[in-house]
Amino acid sequence: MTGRLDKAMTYSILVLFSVIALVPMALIILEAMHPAGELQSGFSFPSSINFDTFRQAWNVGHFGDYLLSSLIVAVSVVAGATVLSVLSGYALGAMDTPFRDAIFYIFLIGLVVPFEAMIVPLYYNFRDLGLTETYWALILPQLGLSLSFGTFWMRAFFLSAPTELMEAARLDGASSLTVLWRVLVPLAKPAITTMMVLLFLFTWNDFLLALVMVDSSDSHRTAPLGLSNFQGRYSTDIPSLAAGAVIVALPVVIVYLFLQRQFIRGMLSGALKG
Amino acid sequence: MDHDKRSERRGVRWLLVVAAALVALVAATSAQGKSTKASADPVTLKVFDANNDPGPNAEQIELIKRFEAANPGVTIKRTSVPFNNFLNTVKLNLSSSDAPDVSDGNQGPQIDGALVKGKLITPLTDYAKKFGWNKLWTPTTLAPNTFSADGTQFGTGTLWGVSSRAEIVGVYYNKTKLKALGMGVPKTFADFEKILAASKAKGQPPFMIGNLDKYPGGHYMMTLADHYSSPAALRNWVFGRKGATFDTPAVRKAAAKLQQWAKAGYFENSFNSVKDSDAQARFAKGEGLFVISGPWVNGGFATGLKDNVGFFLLPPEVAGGPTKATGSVSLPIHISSKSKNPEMAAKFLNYLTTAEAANIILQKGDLPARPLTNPKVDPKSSIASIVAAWRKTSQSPNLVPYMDWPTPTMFDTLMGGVQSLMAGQKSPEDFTKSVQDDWAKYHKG
Amino acid sequence: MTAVSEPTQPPRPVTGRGGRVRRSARAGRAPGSPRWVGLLYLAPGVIAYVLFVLAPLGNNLWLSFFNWDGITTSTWAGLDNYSTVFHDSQIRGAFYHSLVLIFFYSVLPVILGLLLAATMSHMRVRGLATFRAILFLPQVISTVVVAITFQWLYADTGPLNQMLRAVGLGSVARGWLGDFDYALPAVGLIGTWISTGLCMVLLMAGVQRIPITLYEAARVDGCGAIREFFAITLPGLRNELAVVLTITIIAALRSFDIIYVASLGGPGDQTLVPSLVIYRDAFRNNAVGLASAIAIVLTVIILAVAFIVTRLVEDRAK
Repeated sequence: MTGRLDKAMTYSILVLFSVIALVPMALIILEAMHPAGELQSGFSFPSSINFDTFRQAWNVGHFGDYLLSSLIVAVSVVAGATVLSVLSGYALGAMDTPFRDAIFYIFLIGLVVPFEAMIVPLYYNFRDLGLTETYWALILPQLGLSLSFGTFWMRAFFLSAPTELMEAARLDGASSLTVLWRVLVPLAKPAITTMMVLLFLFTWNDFLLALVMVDSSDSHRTAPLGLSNFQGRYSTDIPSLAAGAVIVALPVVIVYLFLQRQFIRGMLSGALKG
Repeated sequence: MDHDKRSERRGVRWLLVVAAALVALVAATSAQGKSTKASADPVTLKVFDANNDPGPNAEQIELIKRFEAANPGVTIKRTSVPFNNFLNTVKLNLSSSDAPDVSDGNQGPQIDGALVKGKLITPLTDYAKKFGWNKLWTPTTLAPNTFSADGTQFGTGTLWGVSSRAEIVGVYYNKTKLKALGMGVPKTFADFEKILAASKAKGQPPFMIGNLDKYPGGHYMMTLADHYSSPAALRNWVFGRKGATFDTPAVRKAAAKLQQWAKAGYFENSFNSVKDSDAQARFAKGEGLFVISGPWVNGGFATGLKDNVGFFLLPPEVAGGPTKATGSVSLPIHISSKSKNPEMAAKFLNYLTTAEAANIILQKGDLPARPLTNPKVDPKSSIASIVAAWRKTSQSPNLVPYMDWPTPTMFDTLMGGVQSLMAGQKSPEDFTKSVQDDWAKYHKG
Repeated sequence: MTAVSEPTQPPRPVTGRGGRVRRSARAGRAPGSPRWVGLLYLAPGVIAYVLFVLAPLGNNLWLSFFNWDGITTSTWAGLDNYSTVFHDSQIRGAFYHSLVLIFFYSVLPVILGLLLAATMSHMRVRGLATFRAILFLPQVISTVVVAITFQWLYADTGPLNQMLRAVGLGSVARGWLGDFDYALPAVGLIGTWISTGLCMVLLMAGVQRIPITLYEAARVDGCGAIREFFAITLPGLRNELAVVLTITIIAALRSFDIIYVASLGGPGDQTLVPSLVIYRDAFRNNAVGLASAIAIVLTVIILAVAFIVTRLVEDRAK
């Protein structure tokens, strides 16, 4: 008695919302195919599919610089946070560490507390240390924040890791590090990969931290900030703006599309495990 | 077991290698990011400005090019941002370790006052003497760029910034459209309102404005306040003098008039959702009859409309009466107290005040701060009218400084209030009261 | 709001999960390996976390008791800043706007997600993975890109109004982000667009976990669709709901990027939100202490919400 009504409703909703999810981005992509500098009012289909505007926006808008900055920051944060999260998650999830529950709750604070509650002192302290307008200003705070999620995530994995393997390795005289490196990490690859993708996503899309720390010149602007800056200077040139938007969104979307199956699956299991 | 130990060491070693590589990568790119502070020759000057409109932007590019050509060995690295961003970041920039050598500021406690208090900019007294800036301009003209040494008294004391341009707010008009209405440049305020009504009757809202950025509407309010009120009283209020108030019947009348215009549909449709730069671009392409703004928009207008754009100050109540207007020298340009090349920075500042620079500014359709003896402008052009208006008003008591200067929060209070006023969301009384409340809170005692 | 604030986990584990269901404590350490070895592993992470998260948080609390312009020395303000937070109508308005955004970022997407969960509760959906991938896409795109896109969509001459005019609803068309009445809902709908996919994906997954046998039994008892939903589906989704509600409510309360890029808090103060006030006061209006106080109040509200939602909604028995 599943009923055709149920089926029809389900698919209608799914299709409708899929369309709603895609249409805005589709419009922007089409908009970016208009010649640059055209004063657009509203949407119209481009006369031809061409990527000239993309090339122009890329050059005029220094998007190469912005993407590079984003890459440097994202890779550094993800690498650092992964290593530290694995270590912390291991300690909290697989070892009999003293105060492990209290420490875990403390890490969770970073997940809930809004970034706005930290950014003001972070800015002024970094300024005094001469660290504003450097990549460190973007990497270090995001590293700290990523640890909340990362530790939580890896701890959940280690908690449910098979104990027999660990015990067996232990009985062979392996040190804790060896157990981690040779036994658990290979098992954790999917969980670690999902975490890395998620951290990459958060870090790449960050805007507020970049706006506060590195906005005084193009040298360290990350992609979202660069796009906002580009908009401030070329807001009447909708096709170029649209092209810039696509350029900025593309890297994460590509990573997402390649890994989405695993990524979503990993996310869902994580949601309900923790 | 040996196997374990070895692979463990290998694992740790890999970790260290990766970590080291990351650190090296970040350090290398950080170093690249920082500006190269050269020793003797050559010199790099970092310049930060808010010249985002097409005219001023083109001027700055040209001026920098010429200065670099005239001073071999000097490279200028320029960063420019839109005005709203500028207000958010200028103080942060000047207080960072990577501060620019030369930076725009903004008159009043919000920006300049804070910069002086924080000792982030160099007093220009000696340079003014050396380069003769004191002789170029009168104390009244320079007053907005002054602050007491402790940064508390605005409009008096030490000179902290030099302006390259001047500003006077008036009405730009599309000549063809005005003629099509069968009307000429109005001589009285009543004539002006007749034109507004006529344009609207023809189905065209007379004012082309985009107020999403909040400040364009402010110019309309200021112009009307000048018209109805006393310039001396407003001037006192702007400079924070005791007993001054914004909440007077005259100013309330001005606010009511603005609201009435908005209600009558005199402003471009959905103007609160349109960006200033969009509205400017549309006017330059021939849309709209009037824009009330300052010389910074003229470059773009002149490029788009050529001889078809004109300029006049808002006419007085009675023909031949005093024409009052908002205006001042433009954003003050400062030398950072952290600059390693203050002498060269001062030289650049001075260059911006020379006759050559003034001419470049003029050619790009903008108004230079330097008093001009024989400006080479086409008498039919809008810039000619702007220059004449500045000449007439800048030394007269009818010039009123900008009303968003008096307190650190006044920009948002005034401009946001104008948005609400124009949308009919706030009464004129509530508007003037909220502005005065802001002023009183800051100037208490 | 960041495109994906936190994808899927509850802010804190409830006792009964995640901490207790495990094997003996001895498994983690080799015979003779002291307990403090774990602390050694934790050290680097904890140090980074303390330096860049906890210390700034504490610093923020400290700053909130001072008046500071960010450049000169600060002066003690006691609780003055907090008094301002509660008495200033503009700041109160900003918090109120966040509440409105909660409806759009959280309640609406959850309702849509539940609707979907209800209709697909006992069927296999073909192409589920593809739908999931598409629906989740808005979460992945940078909020700056989303804001710029919607600013263009909402413009007076933009595609949305073009469509409205085309179907004869031209009188409704307007510059949405500049309209005093509709700017906040317009901004809110951007959040709805971003969050609905997340809610759907999570609730879809949750609903597939509910044993079909429950539905069959209910059917045998003569349950109608509505009763089924409230008796089986909804309770079965409690944990997912707790997660989704918490994440989206926090996103609504923290929202910065979208508003900064799309409407700047305007027109007037209609879309002003606490995070925007914090940014403006801390960096533009020389009022760092006040900004810190607002941030602390925001944090307390978020913690309270997370706690309440988790307590109320989550199913402890699972």
